[in-house]
Amino acid sequence: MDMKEDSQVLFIPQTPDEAAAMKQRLGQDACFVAAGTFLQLQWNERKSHPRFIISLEQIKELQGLQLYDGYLEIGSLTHLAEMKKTLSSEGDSILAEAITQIASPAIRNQATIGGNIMSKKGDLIPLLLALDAEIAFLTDSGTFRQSLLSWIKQKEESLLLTHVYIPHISISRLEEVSHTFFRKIGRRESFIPSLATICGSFSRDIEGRIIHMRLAVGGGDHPAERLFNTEKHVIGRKINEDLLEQVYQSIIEEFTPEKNPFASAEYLQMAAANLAAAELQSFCLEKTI
Amino acid sequence: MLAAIEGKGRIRPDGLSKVTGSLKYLTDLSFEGMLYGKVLRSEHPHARITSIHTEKAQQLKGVAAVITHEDIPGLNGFGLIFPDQPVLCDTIVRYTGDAIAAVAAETEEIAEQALSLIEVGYEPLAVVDDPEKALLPHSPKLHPDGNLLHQTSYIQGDIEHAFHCCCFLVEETYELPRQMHAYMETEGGVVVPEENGGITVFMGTQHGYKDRFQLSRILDIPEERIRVISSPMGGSFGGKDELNVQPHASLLALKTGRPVKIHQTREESLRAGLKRHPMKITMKTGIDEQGLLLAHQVRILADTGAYSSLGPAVLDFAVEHAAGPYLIPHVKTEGFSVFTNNGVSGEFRGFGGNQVTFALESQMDRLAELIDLSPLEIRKRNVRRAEDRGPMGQRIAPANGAADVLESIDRHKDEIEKAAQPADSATWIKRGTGMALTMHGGGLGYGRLDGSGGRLEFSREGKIEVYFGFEECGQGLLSVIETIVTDELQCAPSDMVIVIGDTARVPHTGSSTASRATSMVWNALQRMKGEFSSLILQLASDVSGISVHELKLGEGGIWKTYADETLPFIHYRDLAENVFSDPITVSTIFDFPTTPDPVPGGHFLYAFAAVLAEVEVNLLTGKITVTRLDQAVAAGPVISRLGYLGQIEGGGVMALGYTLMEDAAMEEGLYIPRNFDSYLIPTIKDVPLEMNVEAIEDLYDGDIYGPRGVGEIGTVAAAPAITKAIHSAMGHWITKLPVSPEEILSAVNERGLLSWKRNK
Ligand SMILES: Cc1cc2nc3c(=O)[nH]c(=O)nc-3n(C[C@H](O)[C@H](O)[C@H](O)COP(=O)(O)OP(=O)(O)OC[C@H]3O[C@@H](n4cnc5c(N)ncnc54)[C@H](O)[C@@H]3O)c2cc1C
Repeated sequence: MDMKEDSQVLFIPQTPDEAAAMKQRLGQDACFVAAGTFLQLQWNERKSHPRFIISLEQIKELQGLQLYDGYLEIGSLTHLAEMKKTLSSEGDSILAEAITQIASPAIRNQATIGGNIMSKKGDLIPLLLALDAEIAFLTDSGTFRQSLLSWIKQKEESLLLTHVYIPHISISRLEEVSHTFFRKIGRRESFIPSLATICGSFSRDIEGRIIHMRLAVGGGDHPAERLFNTEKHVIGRKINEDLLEQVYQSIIEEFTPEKNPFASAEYLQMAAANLAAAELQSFCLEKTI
Repeated sequence: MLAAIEGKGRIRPDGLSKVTGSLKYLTDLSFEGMLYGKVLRSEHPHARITSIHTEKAQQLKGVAAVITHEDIPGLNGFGLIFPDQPVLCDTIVRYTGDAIAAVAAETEEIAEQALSLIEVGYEPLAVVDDPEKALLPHSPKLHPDGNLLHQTSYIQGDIEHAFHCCCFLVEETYELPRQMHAYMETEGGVVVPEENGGITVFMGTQHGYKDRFQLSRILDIPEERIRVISSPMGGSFGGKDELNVQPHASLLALKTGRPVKIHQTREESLRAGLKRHPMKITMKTGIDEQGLLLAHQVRILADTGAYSSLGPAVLDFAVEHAAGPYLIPHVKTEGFSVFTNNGVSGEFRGFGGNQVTFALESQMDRLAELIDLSPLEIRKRNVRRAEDRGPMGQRIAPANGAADVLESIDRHKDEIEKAAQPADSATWIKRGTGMALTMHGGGLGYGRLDGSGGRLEFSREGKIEVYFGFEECGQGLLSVIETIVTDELQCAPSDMVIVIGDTARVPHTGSSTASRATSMVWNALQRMKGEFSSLILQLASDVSGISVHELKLGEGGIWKTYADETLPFIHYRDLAENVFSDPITVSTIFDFPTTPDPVPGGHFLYAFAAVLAEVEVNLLTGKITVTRLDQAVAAGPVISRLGYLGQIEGGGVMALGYTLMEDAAMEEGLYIPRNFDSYLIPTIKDVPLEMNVEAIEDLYDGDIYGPRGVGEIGTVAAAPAITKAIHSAMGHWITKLPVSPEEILSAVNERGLLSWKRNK
């Protein structure tokens, strides 16, 4: 234990169990800190710090990626830069590509995927939703695994996130006829908070019918969510101009971001809908095998 | 002569220490017993102060002093033109950057905490947040003389009559944003109290002597007891020319008898610091059937914020440049600079030229479209010739720069058009190019004190010491001085010592502003080099018995003119040993050249630039990417090749930010962005991979004025080139900066450019 200032106490657990136990003991006044890149912004904004800080940086067993048959397991304390490096060498590009659009190289060297998810504002969340990711928490009774989709609907969470699971199949299923995209709308090319992010993953059969579709939005203060209505509308149909128009319209209806000082809600809706329509269009104009 | 600026140049004297981070800026300095200062700024954009209680702050452990307006011995005001900005407010606050109290404490944290203990009572007043409203009769008066800081005009010919004779007219209103200087080093430094009751001020500024004068007025101590060390700076761009926290640190240092450091955070800097004037410019411009400009009517409304600073001069500059490099027989330009409760506007690279050039060049492109001429052709038909008068009818140094840069940029355009388009640019990316032209005056202008000079000394150590009152703010001044002195005196960089930015040591050479320093250093050397060389040669001759005619200055020492030797015949150091009396000193005093015609603020020396921009418009998001930005600049001989390139490219990127993303927007007198996470400047990813700079170095026959500065001109004409490129890409005219992706997207929709969103 290390005393910082009068009132602040720093804990440095070495294992996930230790960390989870500490949090349980200290309760509301304690806060997990992975790299602190998100928290630092928050503390600055609110001009206040929590009393107890549980630093996760020494917990080595939650760092790194493992490829299993059918899914990819990512330790919650894996740094974004490391993730990108490993994934690029595995030939998976969409997560790696998304990571290059988060913060800056210096921040990505520190920032973790767990922090990105648990902040509830991370750019990766909509993409992970589109990829049907699952996450695992450490509880009293062991590890508890759930879909990211069910978790984002829950309220504040005080458990330790240990792993993220991405079904491998959704990344490479029928390579030639599936497509995943990540589009972040920001006010400049890089090092920029997202105003809105739209992600998707879709596959089509030999006849060009969409057989799988995930569409998710997030970014800014908008909580990440799947666009179920739009998905339903598209599944089982062939893409043509009419359907693109309907997709565009449906996203506008379903995605209802808050306006912010730098963009109106209408703009964010239109831009997100355009991006998705363009992805669908180019996906379906590619030659069918 | 035309030269592409490229290749390796001289390594700048401060280069290594800057890239390795070893250079100590003034805000990096520390002194024994140093305290940390913080300034309490207003919570309200406009309020009456009903009470100020500092007792609790004073009692906090670690607090050495708390000051308010009561602690100011002299004038409670500063400002380069009118000292109307309070150092510490007593009765009224007029913007949220207004200072009310300041604290010196043992640590920054204690100082911060002390600020929170100062209790200020406010009675909020109606906020005047718009210059148009500020001019209405019932608007609250922000200053005793009302809300109009300055009004000026230029009239030539008969505008009303001329409009009747025009075949095509364009009338449009342009809106320009509040740009932040965004220097890397925020304002600050250290003030050290001296034994004689004076102080030494280690803080960046663009005119050390002017700070000394203003501080003397505030502190009520003679100027001679104030020493200002003002260099080096981590950027200024005009933003540090005015005083900022010098008065507060000085008052605290004098009160506590200890050195006091103040270094503003980015948030404090954004809140209190100067910005570029937001302007609303309405132009009505007409041409005849040949495309010749006949009439040009301009109304400029500048939001100068709470205090004057250089507001009047910026407006004068904008009014002067409203017709730019074009010959227009009938002109009527009116300008108004208006007080509001918004952040203070002031000096900024380009000095009002950027705003008015955006409007003017946008008009030219609209007129070109109406009469179906190319953007190049309409400019060619109207551009001034070398010996024409200046934009306010004044005589100016003849220069063919305007025509030269146009011709040069046209070649770049050909190049782009011939280049194969990238193969599979998606259907939702549209490309376009645009060009723009400008002329930009250097120096402060007619009727303004604009003295300069310089001093050379041959020291006892055998060094050629070079003294100028200018500052290195990143622009590469040291490199310029080194190049000019070694060129003119033939000595080596290692033979010289450059002394700048220290009022205890340097002569009055005027401000490092208005693109004047390079030009003044060159002119000073022309005046001093003959006498200085002959005094040194005479000394060498006395010592050696060889005639002065057979000797010359060179690298390392004095060389014989006739001999083919590899070493100097006498080293400077050895020669210096013979200087028994005072060192050899030569100095000069002169004024920046001005027009003989009494046009207040009118300029005499101008530089010219033409810009070519290529953009990609993303039809899905409305985002603009600048893919190429070329500039042709005519500003006389290039002194420092890399410095020149850095100024023009860097200026271009600053203008790209101005065009596409930068806006310190305000709502009811409060800044919307508060830091660099919401006030955006371009990163390297926003900068085009291709930027080309072409320098036209020719001077007109008989021109004796040498190189013009290029500190500003790279920022002036890029915006209209970029917005014209957007127009070429998708047919939408921009009137408001920064360009809003939202506006672009509506334009995409109106034109039905996306198949899934046809007009319905
Ligand atoms: C300048 C800057 C720019 C940024 N730009 C972006 C951007 O473009 N896109 C983006 O998505 N983010 C951005 N961020 C935010 C942040 O860097 C990322 O979200 C990062 O991934 C957070 O990771 P971290 O390890 O730093 O999280 P931390 O700040 O340590 O934690 C974030 C939250 O998660 C909780 N937490 C962390 N780990 C765990 C765990 N294992 N179990 C339970 N709870 C946990 C913490 O308690 C906290 O609530 C930026 C941050 C900065 C400072």
